[in-house]
Amino acid sequence: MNLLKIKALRVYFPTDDGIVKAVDGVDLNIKREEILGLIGETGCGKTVLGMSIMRLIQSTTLTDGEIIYKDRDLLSLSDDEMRKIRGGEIAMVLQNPMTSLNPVIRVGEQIAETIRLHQGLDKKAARKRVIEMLRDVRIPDPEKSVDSYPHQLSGGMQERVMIAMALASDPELIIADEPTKGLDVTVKREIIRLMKEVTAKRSMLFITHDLGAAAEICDNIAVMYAGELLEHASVDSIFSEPLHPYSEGLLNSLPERGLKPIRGISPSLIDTPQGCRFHPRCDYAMEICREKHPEMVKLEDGRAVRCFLYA
Amino acid sequence: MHHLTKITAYILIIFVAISINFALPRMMPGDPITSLTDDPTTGMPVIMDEDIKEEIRSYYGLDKPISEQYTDYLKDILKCDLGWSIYYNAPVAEVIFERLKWTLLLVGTSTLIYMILGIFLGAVSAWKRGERGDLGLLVSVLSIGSFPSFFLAMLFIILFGVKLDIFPIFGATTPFMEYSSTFDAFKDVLYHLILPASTLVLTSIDGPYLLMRNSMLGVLGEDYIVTARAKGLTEWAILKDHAIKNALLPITTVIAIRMGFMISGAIFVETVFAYPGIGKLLYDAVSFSDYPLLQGAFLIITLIIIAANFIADMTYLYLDPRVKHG
Repeated sequence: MNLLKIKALRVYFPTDDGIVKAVDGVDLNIKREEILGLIGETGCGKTVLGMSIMRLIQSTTLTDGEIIYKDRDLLSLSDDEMRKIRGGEIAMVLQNPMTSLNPVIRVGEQIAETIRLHQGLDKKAARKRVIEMLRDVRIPDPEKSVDSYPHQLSGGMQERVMIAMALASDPELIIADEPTKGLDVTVKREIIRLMKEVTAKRSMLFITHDLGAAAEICDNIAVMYAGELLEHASVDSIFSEPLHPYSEGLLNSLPERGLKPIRGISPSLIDTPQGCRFHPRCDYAMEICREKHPEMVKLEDGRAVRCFLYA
Repeated sequence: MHHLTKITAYILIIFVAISINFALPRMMPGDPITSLTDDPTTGMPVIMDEDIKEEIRSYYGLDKPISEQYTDYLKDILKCDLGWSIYYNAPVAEVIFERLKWTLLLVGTSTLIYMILGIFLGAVSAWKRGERGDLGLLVSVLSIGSFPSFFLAMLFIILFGVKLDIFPIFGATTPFMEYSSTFDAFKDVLYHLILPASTLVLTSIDGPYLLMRNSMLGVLGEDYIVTARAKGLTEWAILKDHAIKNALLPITTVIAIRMGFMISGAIFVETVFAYPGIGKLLYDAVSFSDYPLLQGAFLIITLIIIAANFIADMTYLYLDPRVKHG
């Protein structure tokens, strides 16, 4: 049962240098209670994909395609309708809690705001709920922390506040954008464990370039490269047997697999390579890869891959 | 602890300001006696023998050692005694305080209005950046702001005072008027205040407007604004609860600094409208070489600016929790 269906989504940013095709024809489904990892290098368009589900992209953007959430196309909702979903049924954990929390507002109030807005609780009830939320994300001494300002909390605690904020409206879908970025290893592990726990009965799109974190928390993985998806598979199969050369390259760049980087750099989203977008960096590149753009091929075991090796 | 260091710092600043005010005239070449006797502009040197010179010196306390003059000066200030005005033949403190209320009324009212209006328009402009409303505001505020205040004041006098004859063109009250009630008096004062205050508001509004617009544009690009939007807040709630407070932070400091410019702007406006404030007084004091009055006025203006800075510091403390908690 799909909760969210993204169909042929294109998100283009017109700039002075040309059109940045940040998301260029993405099809992606998120099932109920599925945790889907979206992985890829920095600048491949994964954050933009997450933001466009929430319609948080600026208005000058050209967006095309459909984002169906529970039979409604989010892209064709009015601003008011979208606002009710945003932060309500679909919540987001943004990257960099340090800058994503308002420095001059107490953290409790920043969480309470969402609760009051989407659950219609009064000030007192909302505050009580906030303290419960802070306890749920295991922030020590929640009665005191509720009145703290963001700068008084550590990075890990700030991340917990961000998670509490996203959970505040009891959303069905959480979009988490690099929630483990910039955290040290032990804190990162705790945050992952916490996220796994709080998303037990929810769906989540987990955007990250941290493959280790993705392996730990996700059910399925979608690999994104230069604005499009290259592979979509269960977490076990992709880690044991990556099909796409790019997925293989990503895995080989992990420290425990020899730290071998993929040669070359990811292409500009204004001027993507002809044919397969990955072919200039691909060790298996054939003649056809330079000429034709591969389609996503569905394989028998439910995996999908965009590569001529499997066509 | 923090408050204590702040307050100590301000006491120190006031002390330094008073000391400079004491030292400046004494650092100028010559002394009062020489200028009395050898004034070349009179073409008629006053002949004074040493006894008379000595008498004048001791009358003004100038024969005492400088340290004693200094302590006397400090003591006098504590007693609110700023000396004797030559032109008005009255205590300087009395002359200044009589005028100060009008300047405080004029500068205070216009500062309040132009700050609130400028901040509001700046926020709106940033919110609508690039759209027609923003461009219209930007162009009109910048053009009005580049008028010299005295010029705009004269235009106002000609247009509203003479041609249309709806506002008085000089003074703070109607001369020799008997008021039947406090409300009547209030109305008359307000009536006289409108033109000079509008001049000050219009010529000063570009500062806070541009600052707020810039500051707001910066804030609107911050991650926490995206967070606020991701919560599903309305645009108005985002502006009101998340953007404005952050955007105000850098502005509070500048408001205090601009208080100084406000007073100097008031000199022009008060002079053109013959408004009996401290700006007009300064102008007169310079024209009549009334040095004690000048010195006293400088001191009072300095103290007002220091007070404005103090208020800004305290406001900052209230606005930005990071300063308070360190």
